[in-house]
Amino acid sequence: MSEAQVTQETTQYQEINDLLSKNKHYKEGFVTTTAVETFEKGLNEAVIRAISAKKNEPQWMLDFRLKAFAHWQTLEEPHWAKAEYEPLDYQDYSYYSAPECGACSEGACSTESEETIDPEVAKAFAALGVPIQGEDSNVAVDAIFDSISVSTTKREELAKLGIIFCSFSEAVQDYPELVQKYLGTVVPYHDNYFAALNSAVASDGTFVYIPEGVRSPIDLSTYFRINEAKTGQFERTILIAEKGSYVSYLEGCSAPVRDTYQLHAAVVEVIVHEDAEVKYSTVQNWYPGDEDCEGGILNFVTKRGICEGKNSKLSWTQAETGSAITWKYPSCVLKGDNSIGEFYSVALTNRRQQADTGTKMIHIGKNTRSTIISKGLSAGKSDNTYRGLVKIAPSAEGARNFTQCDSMLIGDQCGAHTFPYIEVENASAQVEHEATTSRIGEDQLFYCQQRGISEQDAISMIVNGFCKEVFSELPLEFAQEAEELLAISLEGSVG
Amino acid sequence: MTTLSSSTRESKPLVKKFSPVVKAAMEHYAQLSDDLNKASDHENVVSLRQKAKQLFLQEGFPTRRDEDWGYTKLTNFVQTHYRLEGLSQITLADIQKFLPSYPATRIVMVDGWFSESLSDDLSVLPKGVSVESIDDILEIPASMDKLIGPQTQIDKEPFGVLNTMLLSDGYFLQVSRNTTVELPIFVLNVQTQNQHVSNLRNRIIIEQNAEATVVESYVSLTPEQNEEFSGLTNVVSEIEVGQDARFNQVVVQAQAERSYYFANQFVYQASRSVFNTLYSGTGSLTSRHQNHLQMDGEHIESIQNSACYASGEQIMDSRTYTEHNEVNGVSQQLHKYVLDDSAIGVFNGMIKVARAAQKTDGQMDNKNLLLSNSAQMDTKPQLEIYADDVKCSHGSATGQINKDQVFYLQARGIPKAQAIRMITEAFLLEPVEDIRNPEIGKWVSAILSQKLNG
Repeated sequence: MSEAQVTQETTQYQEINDLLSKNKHYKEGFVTTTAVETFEKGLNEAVIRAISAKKNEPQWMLDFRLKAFAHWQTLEEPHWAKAEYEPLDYQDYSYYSAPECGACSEGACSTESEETIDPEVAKAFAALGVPIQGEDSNVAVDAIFDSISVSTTKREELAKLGIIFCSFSEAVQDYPELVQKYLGTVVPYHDNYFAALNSAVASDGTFVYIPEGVRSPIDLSTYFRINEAKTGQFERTILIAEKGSYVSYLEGCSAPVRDTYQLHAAVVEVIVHEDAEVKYSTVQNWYPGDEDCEGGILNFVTKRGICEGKNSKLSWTQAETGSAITWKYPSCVLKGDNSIGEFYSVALTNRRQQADTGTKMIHIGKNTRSTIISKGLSAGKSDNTYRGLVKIAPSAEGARNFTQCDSMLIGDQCGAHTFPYIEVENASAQVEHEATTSRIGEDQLFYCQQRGISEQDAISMIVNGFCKEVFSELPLEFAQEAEELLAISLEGSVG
Repeated sequence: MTTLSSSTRESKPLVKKFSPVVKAAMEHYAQLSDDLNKASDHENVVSLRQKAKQLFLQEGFPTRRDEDWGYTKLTNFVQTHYRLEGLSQITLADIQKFLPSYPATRIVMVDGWFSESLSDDLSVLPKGVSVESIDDILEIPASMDKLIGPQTQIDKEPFGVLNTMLLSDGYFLQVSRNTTVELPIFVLNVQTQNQHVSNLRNRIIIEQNAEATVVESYVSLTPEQNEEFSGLTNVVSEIEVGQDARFNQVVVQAQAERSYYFANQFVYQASRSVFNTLYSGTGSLTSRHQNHLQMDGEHIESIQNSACYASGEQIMDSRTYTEHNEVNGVSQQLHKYVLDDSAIGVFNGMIKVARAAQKTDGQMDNKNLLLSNSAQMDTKPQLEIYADDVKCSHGSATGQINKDQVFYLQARGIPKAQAIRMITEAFLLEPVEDIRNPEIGKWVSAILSQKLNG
């Protein structure tokens, strides 16, 4: 390459980077001030007992927490992901924070009703566009503010169908036998470092139970909001779909702009029984931090579902645009014969964000099928990594997997990486993996511009086309939101 | 408890712990290194081995907990302590069956030692080509520099460290500027003693605008079909391909069923050079062939292929690490495995594209055919990309024989068993097509077909 060309390219990217650095659009970055009850920073057995007491939990739940905590102490913080971060000081976080309400301080959270929502909190959710008052929206919402669930809408309607949709803490009180039966069955407390931590200090989360033969008429959704500085959010979500049922579940999240890293270590367990289908969609828009991603959310999430019964289906769809560091591998254990696992993902990193995300497909049952479509977009100085495992056990006669990982680089300061692990132990299985890397070609841009489309729109078009296969899997409103998010996150990435 | 995070951080083991079996094996090889040093009076060599020994005693043999060794277990390997002794006496008649069908310059290494009597007369090689044994080079302390290339990478490989620690013999090939070596150089590495280690350190320098072809063959000469025969071959090769130079290499590993083979090739390519290598693996209980390729210049081309057939309890591991460091590099890879019985195939490939390496074209394909339900394939095709204007892709597919293809052939009157054989053979031989020299290509194909058809 000639020197002139080099300088030309440098200036071109300089421009891009300048524009990128101006891009501070994190409209969800406001802070809510309200009376809160926050635990002192620090983590020890007393804190765990206090969390449990606060939630008025039965003995078995406390035992589960303590067992997990004891195990967590023997573990080492994992640093194998392709992301660089300083070891976290777990004593510098608070492990419980909740808006104060009369009911809470008396330790009877379970009786909390919509009337008791702190107006400030309600305002925050209204600003985020989350319908927590159960207005005439087409979706049931569980809104989680720091450590607790503040409101769950449309419960009565759903209850008529036998669907249980409530916060995790309520479920522990009201449906202990169900929680006990499923808690830790998909993600055991000793699964990994962050799962152990979550099991020990689990704050709140959502509990969904779809009874046999019921199709949930509306989408169920949870919105996570971290508000307090220096707190960790450790929600635990359990979703059970009984025989022949169907549910579409959505998850969204955001956090205010802070200057220190906040920790989010969630665990999601999904159990899909015979002939049931679960669609699990996530739009992750945690605060990514400032230009250097200082102060963003550290998103260390363990999501796993098991297709327990025959012909069951679990589909993960995710649009990841936020967080300073993402460490997340939604997985499917395909145990039932003919069960299907799907993973559709768009991950966008900008500035200095680091995402190490992907999936695991464990084929155990006969004729199990899985599809992985992963689209990674890197811009700025970010690193975007796909890491996935496809394992075909010897018992998985006739299993089938198709994996496609496409990466797009926007600018020459970013990185796109693909680390697939493929383990095949059955000869009748058919496993395919493809990966490509590309960028937005100058000729593509030129073509669009020639037809009167501005450069910005052209990029948006190309990127949306690149991600289309995944967006088409998202529920309609979510797909729109994801597209908009992508546009905002990419705004100004080319001059 | 208050300093939990710091204590978890510090608890990272600085001193590795080893099981008694591994420890015993490590001490055995350390002893071999000491024995070599006692017999040597060259300070440089002694200190080189000693440094490696220290590192080896610290790092030891990898376990399945090591990310790079998760699929390649060494539990059987460490149970046997391989000896290191002198050259055993065999005759040309003994190795006749291993010699190639095409004309070539012959170098023979027996149990890891250069055999002058079995090799061609190396003093009459064409102008511009020189071959020396490493043992001879070690005799002259001043020529040590010639032997030792950039060491850092070797130290990261456990078997590289072991190799330096037991540094004894190998061959040194140098092709000077503008020289084209017409005849292929055929290096026969033969194991003759049971439970013996062949420790080979090779160095190849292809100077500017030169061209050479090297065929390395690894075999075992087993007395009276001794099925328990087990030899260890541990090779480290450092290959420099100069500007505009072309280097073709074929490595054929067909050692005895219970032997072990570990090879690390470190290849450095300069601008506009071409490197073409094929690894054909059929032998050994556990084998691992690794290419570490650095493409340190513009317009470099590289082809890295492998064709592996494993049956029984074999573990067959082939891996590549390709670094594109400058613009306009082209790298191509095709790795094919056919696995029968309870064999385990392992492929691990990494293409790393540095920020400066714009206009890179990197292609990596891994295709595997499982013939038995207890066979297993573990593959990790990886990309790590820091430049945006690149074309990089990898693909991996694992499956069984396509029934439609068998039916197609049956419909044309070919019996089923033969149809399956034909398809399997055609599948396995595809990577061989990239060999430039047709005679070598035929010879490799014959070895693979013979093994495949029992």
